[in-house]
Amino acid sequence: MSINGLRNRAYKGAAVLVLGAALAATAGCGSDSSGSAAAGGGGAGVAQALALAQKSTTRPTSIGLTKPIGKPVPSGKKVVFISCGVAACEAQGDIIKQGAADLGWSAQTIGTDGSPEQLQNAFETALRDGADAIVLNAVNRASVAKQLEKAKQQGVAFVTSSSVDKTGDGILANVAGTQNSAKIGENMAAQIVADSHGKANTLYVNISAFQILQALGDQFKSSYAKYCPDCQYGSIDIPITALGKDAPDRIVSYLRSHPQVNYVVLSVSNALGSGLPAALRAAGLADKVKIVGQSGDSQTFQDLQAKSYNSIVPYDYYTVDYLMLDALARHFAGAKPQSALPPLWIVTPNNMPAEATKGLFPVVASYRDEFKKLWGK
Amino acid sequence: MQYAPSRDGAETVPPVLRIAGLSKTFGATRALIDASLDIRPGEIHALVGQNGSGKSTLIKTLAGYHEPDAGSRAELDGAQFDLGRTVPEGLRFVHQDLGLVLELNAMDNLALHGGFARGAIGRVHWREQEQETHRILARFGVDLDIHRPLAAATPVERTVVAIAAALQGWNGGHGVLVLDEPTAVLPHDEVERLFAMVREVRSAGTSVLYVSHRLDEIFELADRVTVLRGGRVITTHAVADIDAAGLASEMVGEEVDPDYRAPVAARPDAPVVLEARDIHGRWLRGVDLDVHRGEILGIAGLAGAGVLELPYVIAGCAQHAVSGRIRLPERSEAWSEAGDARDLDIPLVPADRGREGIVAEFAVSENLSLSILGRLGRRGRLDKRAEADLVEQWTQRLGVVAAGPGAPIATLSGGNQQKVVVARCLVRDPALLVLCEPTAGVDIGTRVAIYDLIAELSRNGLTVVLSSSDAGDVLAMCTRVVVLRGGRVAAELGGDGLTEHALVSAMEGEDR
Amino acid sequence: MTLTAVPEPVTEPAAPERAVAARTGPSSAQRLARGLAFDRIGAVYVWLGIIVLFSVWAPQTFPNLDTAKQILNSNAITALGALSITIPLAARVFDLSFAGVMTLTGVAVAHLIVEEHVPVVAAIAIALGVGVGIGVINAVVVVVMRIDSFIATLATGSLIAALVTMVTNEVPITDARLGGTFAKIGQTSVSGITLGVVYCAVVAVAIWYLLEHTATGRRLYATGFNPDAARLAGVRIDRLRFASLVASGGLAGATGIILASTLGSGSPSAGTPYLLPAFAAAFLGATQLKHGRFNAGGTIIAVLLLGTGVTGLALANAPSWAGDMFVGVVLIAALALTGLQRRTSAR
Repeated sequence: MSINGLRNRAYKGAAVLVLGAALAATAGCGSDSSGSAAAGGGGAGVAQALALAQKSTTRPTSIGLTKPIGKPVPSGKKVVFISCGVAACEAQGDIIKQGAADLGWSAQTIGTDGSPEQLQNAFETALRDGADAIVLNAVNRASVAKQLEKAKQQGVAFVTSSSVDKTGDGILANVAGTQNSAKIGENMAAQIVADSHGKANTLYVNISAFQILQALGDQFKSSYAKYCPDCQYGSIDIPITALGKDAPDRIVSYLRSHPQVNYVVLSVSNALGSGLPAALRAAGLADKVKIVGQSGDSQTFQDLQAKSYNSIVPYDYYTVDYLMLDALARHFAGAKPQSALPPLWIVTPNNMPAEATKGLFPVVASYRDEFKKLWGK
Repeated sequence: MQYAPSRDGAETVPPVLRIAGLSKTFGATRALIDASLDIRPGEIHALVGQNGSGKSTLIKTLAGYHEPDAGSRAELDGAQFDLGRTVPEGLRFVHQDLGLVLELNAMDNLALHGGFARGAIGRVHWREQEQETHRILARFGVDLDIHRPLAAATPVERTVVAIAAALQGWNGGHGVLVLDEPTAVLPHDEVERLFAMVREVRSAGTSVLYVSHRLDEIFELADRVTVLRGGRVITTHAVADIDAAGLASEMVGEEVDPDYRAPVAARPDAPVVLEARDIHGRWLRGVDLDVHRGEILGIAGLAGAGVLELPYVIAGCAQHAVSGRIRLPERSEAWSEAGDARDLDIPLVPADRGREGIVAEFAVSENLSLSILGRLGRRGRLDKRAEADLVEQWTQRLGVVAAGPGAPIATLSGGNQQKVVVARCLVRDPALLVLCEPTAGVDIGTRVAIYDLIAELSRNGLTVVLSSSDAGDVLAMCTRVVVLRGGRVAAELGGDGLTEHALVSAMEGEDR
Repeated sequence: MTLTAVPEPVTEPAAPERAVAARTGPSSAQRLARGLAFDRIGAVYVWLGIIVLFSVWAPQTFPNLDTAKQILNSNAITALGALSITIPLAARVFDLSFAGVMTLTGVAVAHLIVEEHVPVVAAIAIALGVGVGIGVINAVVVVVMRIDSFIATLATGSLIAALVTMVTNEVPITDARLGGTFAKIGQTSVSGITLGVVYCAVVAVAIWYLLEHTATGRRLYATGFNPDAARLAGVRIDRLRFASLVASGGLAGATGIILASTLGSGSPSAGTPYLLPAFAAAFLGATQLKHGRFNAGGTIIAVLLLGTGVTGLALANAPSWAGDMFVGVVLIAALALTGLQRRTSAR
């Protein structure tokens, strides 16, 4: 075929491709948007929300676990912490070390990039190095099934947090699992309904790649509808590849096409909030919406202090990590397991601790003393 | 079966390849107009023509790259085939670039063309493959290490492998092997080996269609020659019936003297403009050189004698360690180390035009101005108007034929590209110019133009150092020739002593 | 050494040949037509097509000035990143460390302002120096040690990542001090357009001028296309390649500072998401306007093309997977329309 013929074919082909893409995208569903359910009792719901929000805005003073172990905790145990690679995991290595020292144990961190191959390798290394206990956050049972089996056979204890997998069969404990996520979702819904006095129109921003967030999102949606049946709700999902660069743009676009939205919920503030306040300001939307976020890093709290956020429910790494160590301590002491949810706190610009903008901070200031008392140390 | 070369002019035997009524039009350009060609069995048939004559279009059409206009007919050994769409079994090609992958060895390259010896599940039988490769190469009298990458082989070995690859699976009988400029990358002393191979192919029964620029080869090798000009077949002669001058004239369409000597006068008493002492390099083993003002000094020799290294050293472009001293007495009494020769700012027209001479992605003007960009504007700014003036001035002066100054340089013929490279060197207004292989890949018409150009430059005061493996170049242009052998100066020829015989014997050594 | 006499290029003359006569080139109308041809700015046509598509698909929100501003604002950093690698790419030098440099200078300036209490202007100057310094290190590794730029800058990028982790321990550096003057650098808007867009325009014009209208620009291209020929023609290719990497280090550094100002913090992961999009834009840009030469205008067109897609899809409430599919389709369409600009196409 001549060059000209090929060229013409190429033009037509390109046009078809673009058109095809457009049609395909149109055929797909758009974002999820639901209106109000007709159930009445708007005032009662708001009152409930107000009560919950008020309670949760007070800083918790206790870790929530009260039963001491009662039996002596053997010392000299070796804990290996497998870091999943992202900043949040890296920071926990120090906390685990501190907690292990409080128990008279030693702790070691193995860094990974989060890929299944490296996680498996780290697991194998830990077993080879004679670990008594292994800690890996947000474990996905399927990707380390063989290693879990091996650990079980060798009598090595394994604990995790923020995982969607059930305990048992190799997993001793799962701290801050789906139950915790649901609790957070409920509280965030309460916060919004209370803050808006029942006049909220909310965008929920999800990252479906993080499975633990599903419980959070589901609970948020149902609690939100319960507290305020007349309030509008919409949600978008941000793919992992858009984090850090395109997320603010997508959120701004949604807000521009839904001008009535006045609240935005960030399921993970660290990733979704990066660059968001500036983008909102540039688009002239900063005064129109309030942001409520889950988790968050020092930058998030910096923005909170500058009143770019309405409120944040922080992830308490300290309590979560100590709860994991607590489960291990009870296990090695031969005591009954105790599960507890880490205490929840809704942080606002008014009640924010100064240390929050510097890095990780414990929600319960006295966590360390409380745990040591439980452990008999 | 042995075939004797057919020398009679009458058609007593039917042709093995017959092409008739071949036309090809590209848009507005008629590249071939009603061309016809007959190749007899057992014949070496030469095809000559300048650039633009349609020669390459004809070969490409035969090879199936182009579809001819309606009305063409072609037959191979009596069987008609669809010219431009199908390539029959008996038609084999070795194109200019040889079609070899130099990183692979001879065995792999042969297998690329002919397939591997394979077993049931596609596994290669290496032992069998090796034996087969040795057998094929032995047929052509070639003995080389079939496991070394072809990049390490000599050019003639590569050419032989390419021919062997093309003829794979061919068991003799009527067919045609097309060789497109096979000697273009061969040094002159290796050409005889190739000729032997070609004759071997012919005696095995395959005819050869031999395309070349070098008229002397045609007279040595071919039985008949066809001349193309302006897209038409002008004539076909038996080689015995024509001489070089006549052939050249038919190619160009006017009187051309292939034994041309440029009108320059030797000036042995002129002052010395360049002195080089005790130059050592990768091949050079202690060379002294004096270049006089206004002369055209030739550097000649066989491959490996240092013929290409010396000009690069003088121009300061050698890529490896060199030692020795160079100075330009008219500029300064001080000697420079050979390794610092770059500071002497002597321009060089490089040997490999495609790789080292032109920037293929640039236009004609951009190539031409590349050496004095700094002077075309102030404070780093590039004055496009000044550039355009410069380019126009020089393209006029050297007679560069192109579609315009903005034309991509890759669309120019080899000769015109060479002119652009020369212009780029001359814009710096140098006192001394060094050229390597100035007429490599340049057709005969432009070749003469380049000879004239250099002669004129010399008359106007430019001193020229010219290194070439082409004795014709050297004889045509140089006033004095330094012959290198084994990295040292073997002889110095000038005036009446500068004959082809003297040159060749000095290059080869007394045992000739 | 074997003699390499080069055979004739096997071409047919593209146009009737005549000796180059007076400089009466094609008329301005002809030049305009040539400039607007598909194979010059195919991507622009695809971009216009997309604008039409989204205007029809989301008529309420897409076709207005706010959208244009939103697209410009959200792509300024990507464009700056792509521009900063355009200079070395013109010389066929790859700088894969530029995203790391962006992160590093952002972290450095934040650290200086927050931890060391250095005044804003001085902190910016020092951080810029860090960017230039990394550029020098890259240049030494690539030019002096003669290591392939692709691998060398991958390696230095990895070293930079380690440095960033050392300084930040993966925690973003934040403080109210970063909110005042410093934040104004990236976050000030002039009638809805952030300063980042302005910087981008300035840099684009500067790079266009450099590559189009200076001797250095021409020499950069020569170095990239054929270093041997350039060297023999008197171009100092090593110096140019060295300078190009220093330039990209400096520009990436400046981009990182602007990004930190936009984010309001020194984030240890700020630059990473920009690596691939910047290269994609630079390479797509090389096929536009200048037939295979990396150039500023083409890069900007490419960034806008891809950026319009992201924003448009979001405004039209397309499903979340549409973004990646869009990028793939658009890249193929833009390249097909332009025709792949390769060396052999000239023959």
